[in-house]
Amino acid sequence: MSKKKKGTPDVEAEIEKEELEEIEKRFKEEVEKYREVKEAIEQISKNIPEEMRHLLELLQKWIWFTVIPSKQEGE
Amino acid sequence: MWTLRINNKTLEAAVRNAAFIEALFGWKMDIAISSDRLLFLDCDDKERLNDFLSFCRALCKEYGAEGIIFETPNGYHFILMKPLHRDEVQRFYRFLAKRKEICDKFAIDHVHVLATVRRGYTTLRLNQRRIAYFVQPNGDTIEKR
Repeated sequence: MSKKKKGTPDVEAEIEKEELEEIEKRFKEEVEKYREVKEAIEQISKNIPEEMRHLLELLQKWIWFTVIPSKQEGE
Repeated sequence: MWTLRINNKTLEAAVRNAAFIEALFGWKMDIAISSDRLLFLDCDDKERLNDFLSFCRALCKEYGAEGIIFETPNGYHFILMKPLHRDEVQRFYRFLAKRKEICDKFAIDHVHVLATVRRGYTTLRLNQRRIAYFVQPNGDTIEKR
């Protein structure tokens, strides 16, 4: 049986295959994260009542929007 | 204690940033509105609406402007619907900061007032459930059903 040497076509193909699998795995993780972000955006947007949105449009010249941590239980 | 605060020009940007932080770090985030030109007040006692309302009505009469009182999960928020000069807004909050007894009498959250003075602008979480009252410039109130 021939030993596989570093730098031979078989080894290089093996390395390339592993790298491709790694890239594919990371790509799937990024797509999953993007889907989670999209769901979070929809959920956050839904939580803002419609009459507040109208009011925010009226006040837009004098306000801005701050992202802050949610209050913990008991706070 | 330092807490993360990210200021955004638009609601869309704030929602996107909140969503990214939640998705990437798992930290639950809220959106709040901030201003250095409007008066925001916070009442954390649902049982003392009448006291809070008294103060809000006096404020609307003083400034000749309308105000809106919102019901929140833990109490009420008030927004005076008239932009003021930045200096006037700060003067108002500095006055309340030194008069804790007034805040206690009218169920105004003194910690919120102190935070406003410290930051130079006022902030209210966007957790309003509904509009509870419209306050007229003459101090009359209209309950929104």
